[in-house]
Formats: sequence, C-alpha cells, structure tokens
Amino acid sequence: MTGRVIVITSGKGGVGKTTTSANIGTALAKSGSSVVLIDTDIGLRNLDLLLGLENRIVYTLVDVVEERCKLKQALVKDKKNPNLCLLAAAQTRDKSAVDADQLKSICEQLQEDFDFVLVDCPAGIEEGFKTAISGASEAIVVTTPEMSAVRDADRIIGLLEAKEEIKSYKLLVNRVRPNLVQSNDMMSVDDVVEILSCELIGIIPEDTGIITSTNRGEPIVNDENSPAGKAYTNVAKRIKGEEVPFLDINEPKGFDAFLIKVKSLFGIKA
Amino acid sequence: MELNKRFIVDLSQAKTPADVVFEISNVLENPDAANRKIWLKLGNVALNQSQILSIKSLISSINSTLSLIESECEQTELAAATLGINTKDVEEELQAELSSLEPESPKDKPSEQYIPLEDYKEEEEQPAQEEPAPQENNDAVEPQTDGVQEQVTAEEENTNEQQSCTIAENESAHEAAAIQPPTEEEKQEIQTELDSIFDSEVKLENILSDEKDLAQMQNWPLTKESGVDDIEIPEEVMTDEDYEILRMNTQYHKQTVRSGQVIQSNGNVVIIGDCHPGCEIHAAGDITVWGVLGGIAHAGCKGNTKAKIRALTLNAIQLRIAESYARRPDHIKNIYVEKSNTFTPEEARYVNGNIVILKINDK
Repeated sequence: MTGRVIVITSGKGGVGKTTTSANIGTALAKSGSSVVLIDTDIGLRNLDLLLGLENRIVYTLVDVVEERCKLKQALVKDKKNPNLCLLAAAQTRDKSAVDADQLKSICEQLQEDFDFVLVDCPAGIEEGFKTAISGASEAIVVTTPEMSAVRDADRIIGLLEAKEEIKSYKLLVNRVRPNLVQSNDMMSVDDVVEILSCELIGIIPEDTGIITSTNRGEPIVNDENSPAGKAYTNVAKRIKGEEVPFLDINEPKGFDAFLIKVKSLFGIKA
Repeated sequence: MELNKRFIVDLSQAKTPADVVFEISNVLENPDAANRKIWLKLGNVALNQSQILSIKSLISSINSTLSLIESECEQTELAAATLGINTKDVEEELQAELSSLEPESPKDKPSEQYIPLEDYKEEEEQPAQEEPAPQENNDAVEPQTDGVQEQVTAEEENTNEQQSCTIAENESAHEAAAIQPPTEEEKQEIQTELDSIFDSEVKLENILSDEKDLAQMQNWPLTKESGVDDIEIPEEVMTDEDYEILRMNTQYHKQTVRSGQVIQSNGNVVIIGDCHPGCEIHAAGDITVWGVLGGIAHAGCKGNTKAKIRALTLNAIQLRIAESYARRPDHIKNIYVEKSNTFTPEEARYVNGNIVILKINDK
C-alpha cells in the first residue's frame, strides 16, 4: 500500500494550517481511511493541543530521527478514532533538529502503513518549510481572503511549482465571512481564486466554534452542526476523489432570505 | 517614652500552647504592637522554656520585647522566671508602675487625663459592673470617655466565645485603645484553610484513568491501570536508594521555566517558580517545584524509583518516575493554570509500578 503524502502549508502564520490539518485528518479517519498527522513545527508545536493528545506524547519526531525510539513507538493514537495517529514535534528543540532527507524517509516509511500522511508545515519559507514539503507529493495551500495572506500564498505556490516532487497543489480558503463579502469589505473566494489561479479544494466559513474546539482539544469536524465542521468534512471527501458541491456560503439566511423570497413573489429584484 | 509603652495581651482563655501561639501571632499582626513592651496574661497553660523562648523571638520579630508573663500555671511561671522574665501579676505591676509615674507626670500631662490611684482601685474592684455589656461581647476594651485607662481584662464571664483574647493598650498609662480580636468567622475561615492544607486523610489519585486508552498504548512503558483501592501505600522506610538521593547534589533554579525549556540534572532539582506546560525537567533525584508544575517532570531518570516529585500545585501533563509514566487525566481541561494564593501541595511517588499522588500531609 502506498499512501498519499499531503503537506498543508500557507506561508503566512495564523491562517489556520494546524486547524486544517487536525480537521482534515480527523475527517479522513472518520471516513475510514488510516491517517497519520506529522507536526513539523518543531519548537512551536500545537497540533497535539488541537487533538487533545498533549498528555500522551512520550516520543517525538526528533526522537525518531535521532533513533531514541522506533517510529511506531512515537505514533500517538487518537482518543476516539483508532484510524488516526499523530507524530508530534518536539517542543524543546528547533527546526534544525530534522532535515529534509530524514523527514522524507519517515514519510516513505509511513506511506506503507497509512492511506494518508498529512504534514503540518510551519509558517515561513525557510528550513522548516523546506523540510516539511520534502516528503510530499501533494499540497494544500491554506489562505484567508486578506491581501497579505493571498500574497504569501502566491509566493508559496511559486515555491511548490519549482519543486518537482509536488504533483498537485490545491487551494483552501479559510475564515470566509459571507457578510463582509456581501458588503464588499472582504475579498470573495472568486477573487482569491482569480488572483492565485489555482484549483480550489474547499471554502471554510468563519466559525467561532473553532475557538472552543481548539481550547477543548477536539477537532470541530466531530461537531456535525457546525458550518466549519461540515466544510472540512467536504474537503476530506474531495481529497478522496468524491465530487461535492461547495457550500454556498453566500446564500442569505434567516430574515434576509425571507425578505428576498417575498420580494421575488411581488416581482421585485432582490 | 517609647520604651515605657506597654502592650498587654490577655490570653487567659487560651487552653493549649497552640492556642497561645495562634492568638499571639494574630495580635502581632496589629501594627500597634510594634516597638512595645509586651505583657502576657496567661491562663492555666503549661509552657516550657523553649516554648516561651519561641514566643519571645516571635515578639522580638516586631521589635517588641516580652517583659512580663502572668500565669496561673506554676510551671510556666518557673520557666519564665528562669529566663529572666518578670512573672508578677499584671494588675499589681500596673499599680506599681502607676504609683511610680504619679509624682512625675502631673506637670507635663494635661490634668484631665491624670487619674488618681484611688479611682483606679475602685475601677479594679468592680470591673464587671462598670463595663458596658457590648464591651464584654466584643472582647475589646473601648476607649473610656472619662479618661480611665487601665482596663485589664475581666472577660471570665464571657462564655459565648471559644477563645477570648483581650488586649488592653496602655500608652504611658494615659490612653486605652480598642483592638478587635479576630471574629469567630475569621477564625473559622483560617481553620478551614488550615484543614484543607493539612488534610490528614491520605488522598489517593491514580493518574491513569481510562482502560481503553491504555490498551491503545501497549507499546509504551506506561503504568498499569489499577483501581484506587488496590494501591496500598507502604510505610516509608529509608532504603539505600533514599540515602543515595539525599547525598546527591541539588540544583537551584529561581526562574519561571517556560515552554520549550529543559532542565537536566544528575542530582536533585529545586525550582523556585512556576513550570509552564511544554517545559521538561529531568533529574536523577527528586524534583521539587515551589510553584505550579505544569510541564513534564521526570524524577529518578537514571532509574531510582525512590525519587519523588513535589509541587505546590501538581498540574503536570506527564509525570515520570524511573521507568514509570503517568499522564494527566483527559477530563482535566484546565489548560489555564489558576494562579491563586491557596495551594494544595502534593507529592508524586512510585508505588509498585504505579505513580501515585499524595497530598503532603502534616505527618
């Protein structure tokens, strides 16, 4: 079995790489695939917190690289989903502890046992980034509809294109706020796609539930009622090749929707 | 005149040496008690020389001196006398001092504040009648409007309070001020606080909680799940391993240990400060944290199973002693460590392959 190695990257910090990794990983595992998440943000690890596995980490990626333990010993199984594993980063070291070749060999080993190997990339375009993308053949570029994040994503896409091993890369637009888009205060998803000219894999609406889920250490895809959770589940389905229509987040809700219906009844343009 | 200022502490209701010390420490918090000659009025409490000495040093810590002890107990009087402390009756001594003051004071003191000795005697003869009722209940001597000062207790009738502490302040025998002793509520509060800290019952807490998780982690050298009741804490017997820890060097760190920082030692480690989540402490001997332990602590990392981990608040993500591992239960979600002034000091030790957390009790 040869699994797919997907790196989740963005260039800019704080756009939701780690949240995306945790949620897509959990969603893929829920759909029955075996998934391993690798946190390559050595020294500033967060993925374990988002999954609520912080207290279970004994060995880390650095321990594996420095041969203090076997790779399998370092894999932390998720609390709920036995299909999901985490290979945590060390908190007490820095990015130089692991180099590109070492991560590549780890990815190759994991590929044999898992359907998906998701690599959570650190922010920036230096060493850490280069290490993280070394083992991957696919990439998901996370961005938000802000000029700075889009600019950084553009830079990242350029770097990914320059790397032969990356066969495909797709765009995930995070933290979209339909209200602001409607009032022309925020770039629309179409604008972002147009600027980056890149294939879209998901649109995640802004959701305050993310904050609580992060603090509780439980990915939001486990909450089936949350808009962001549904969107992440759809992204996972698209990764597996299913065709799922994008959530129409521009669709007006509540009273606005009612008003438009009434207006259309009377032949008034909304 | 500074040295002439007396401060009379009435502890005649205190029944045990502990009560006496408790009341005195309360009294000494009062800023008025500083720089005074302290006179103690004790009931039937037997104090030995060393206890009196420690009271004396307590008092000297606020720049006051213990100059007189009145006691109903012979042993106490004897001990005080050997230490060179006056053991006369407070009333007698007061009168003696008053009479000695009499010839000197009239000129430099306002006449209305001056009390003839005869008046004072009358006052002393019928204290219960003269005192208004509320004063008795409050255990405090209110300033007298007519300028009568020498109020030295008379609260024997006072039965509704468990411990009464009457303080009469005498400033050059001319003024009496009221000092509120701790109210019953405050005492209760202190008592419950003390109880919670020195909980005599051993509280057992096995960090490992859910069996399922453990089954998933068979590869790990984690400790086995066992019910709280299964674990018997053996009596602490000093072994060679214990002595080995005692002989180890000890590293002191006075800092906040932050995420990503590692402290390693071939001996014991003492940290004066908090250890934030994400930090790691590895020591061949004991780890003691004078603060909140939130990170990973590995005591006895060279294999000494007698190593212990102690902290004022034990909130570690993981505890490791020798080859044993234990992790924080998942249901504990407080990733934000509450910083408060009340701590429950705890100690983690290795018992038959388990890591057990005990409240540090007063034994």
